[in-house]
Amino acid sequence: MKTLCSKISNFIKDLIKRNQRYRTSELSDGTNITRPFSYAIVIFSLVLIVFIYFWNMIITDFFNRFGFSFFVSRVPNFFTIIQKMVVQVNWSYFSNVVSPLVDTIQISIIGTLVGSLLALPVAILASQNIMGKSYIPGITKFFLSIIRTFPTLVYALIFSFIFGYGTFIGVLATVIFTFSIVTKMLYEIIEAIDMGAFIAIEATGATKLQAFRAAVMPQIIGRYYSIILYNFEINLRASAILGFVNAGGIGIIMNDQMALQKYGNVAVIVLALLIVVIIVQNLSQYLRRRLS
Amino acid sequence: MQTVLQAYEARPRHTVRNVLVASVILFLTIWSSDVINYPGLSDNGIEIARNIFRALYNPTWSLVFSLGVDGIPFLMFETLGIAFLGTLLGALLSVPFAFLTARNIVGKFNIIGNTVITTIRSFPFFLMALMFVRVSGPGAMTGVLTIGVLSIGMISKLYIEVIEDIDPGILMSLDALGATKYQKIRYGIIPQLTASILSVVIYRFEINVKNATVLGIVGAGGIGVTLLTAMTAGRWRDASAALWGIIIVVLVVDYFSTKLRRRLVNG
Repeated sequence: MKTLCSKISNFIKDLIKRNQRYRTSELSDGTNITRPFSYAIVIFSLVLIVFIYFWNMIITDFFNRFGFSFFVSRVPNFFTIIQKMVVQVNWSYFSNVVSPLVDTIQISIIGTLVGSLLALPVAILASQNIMGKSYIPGITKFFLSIIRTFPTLVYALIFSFIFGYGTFIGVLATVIFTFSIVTKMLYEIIEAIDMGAFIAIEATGATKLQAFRAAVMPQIIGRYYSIILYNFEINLRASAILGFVNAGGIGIIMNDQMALQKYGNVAVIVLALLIVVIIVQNLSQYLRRRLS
Repeated sequence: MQTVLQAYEARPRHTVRNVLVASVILFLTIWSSDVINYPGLSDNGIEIARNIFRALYNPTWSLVFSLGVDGIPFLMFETLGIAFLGTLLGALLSVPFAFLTARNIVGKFNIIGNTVITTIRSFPFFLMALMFVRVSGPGAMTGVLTIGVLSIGMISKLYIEVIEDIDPGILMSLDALGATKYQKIRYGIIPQLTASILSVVIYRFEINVKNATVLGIVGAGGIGVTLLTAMTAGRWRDASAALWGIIIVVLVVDYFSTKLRRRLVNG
């Protein structure tokens, strides 16, 4: 094994050396310049290998099982659905959309608020520069990165087995997801601030918490608000699909109407959701621009 | 000392603004607090919760280490593959969208393209998956198509930005040097684009990996299928094996994506 490795590395070194001759050129005054070796070709071939592997695993496998003509013959299905959405649009269904849509908005509002309130103290625990030389920030960050790996939907799925169904599950899942994201964004900001004022106030005899309130809070508060707004946008989009696992909101009727193949109703749901998302997005962008 | 106190007393207070913001937040909280209607635990909720926690540190080890089609490693590779191929598909599909929306190419007609892109950006992605299930049936292929189409929203937005502020000065100076068309593209345009495009595509890949883990819930392949079936059947140890698979893969992808993007931005 060892000899094989060294053989391979020798081969690569040899290749690079031989390659160097082509990349060296002599200028008119007699000096030699060498173009630096570019790793682009290595990275590109690696990506190509990965691509071929995945292509074989998913695409080729799919066509082997179903055949190419089967796939082509069913592509129009997708456009038929879109066409039906446009043609059969059923405006009278809108009255059924309002209440779940309000639920979705409420889930994301309360989830964002509670999650970001919980995030502030934990973000302090996770910042190296506030806590000083201690093992707490490392442990906190590790746990946060594990919590952060799951999307909102996985939390909702787990809670749906514990609590049954309802908007409460959606709120709980949104709170945990918001908490994990806001904490990360917040400790990154706290760790990058100017520590001069904090140290000066600590030197006057203030406790860490007092010094944080007086010196750090004014520096981060604006960005804290803008993080909250940004997360509200994300949560609104995420909580639209929470209904697929019985966690309340507009996803429930979306799932039902799709299963019943009432595409006209689905179109109304999507349109209502789209309008709300766009309004919230523009509002939050405006507010964030004001904040910075 | 007196002047310090005077200055402290005269500090800006923003009383009106603060009260206004606080009352808006308070109103929103009270208005939306009625969604917290605690439904009570389901029939054996506490037992399920206990089982889930117990299973978390004792997953089905045979699933975690098996190399077969049902094993967690294969499913995670499939999830990664869905995200990878989907991101590539999205990056390809975004090119025509971007050229049809860039302001310096189509002028005022960019409003059509913008509407389409905004729609795709905020389209609920489970609905898209349900639509593609009707094309390619349940399986990984559906996931690839869904993620590919959904990635258009973010990636084409970046392409548009890039196209709209290409620096024409570089092209002019290459013209003045007598560069051919190929040389102009190779040395004038590509170096301007690679770093920002690669970093956004990598970032989108990171998001897509997370999306691909849950796409299985509507039958679009990946680890979500195993997670859902294991949970509905009450096989918590299998579900926990799937959860650990998600944790490890997302952490690894997160780490490398952050590292790569930092290198790309810093040059």
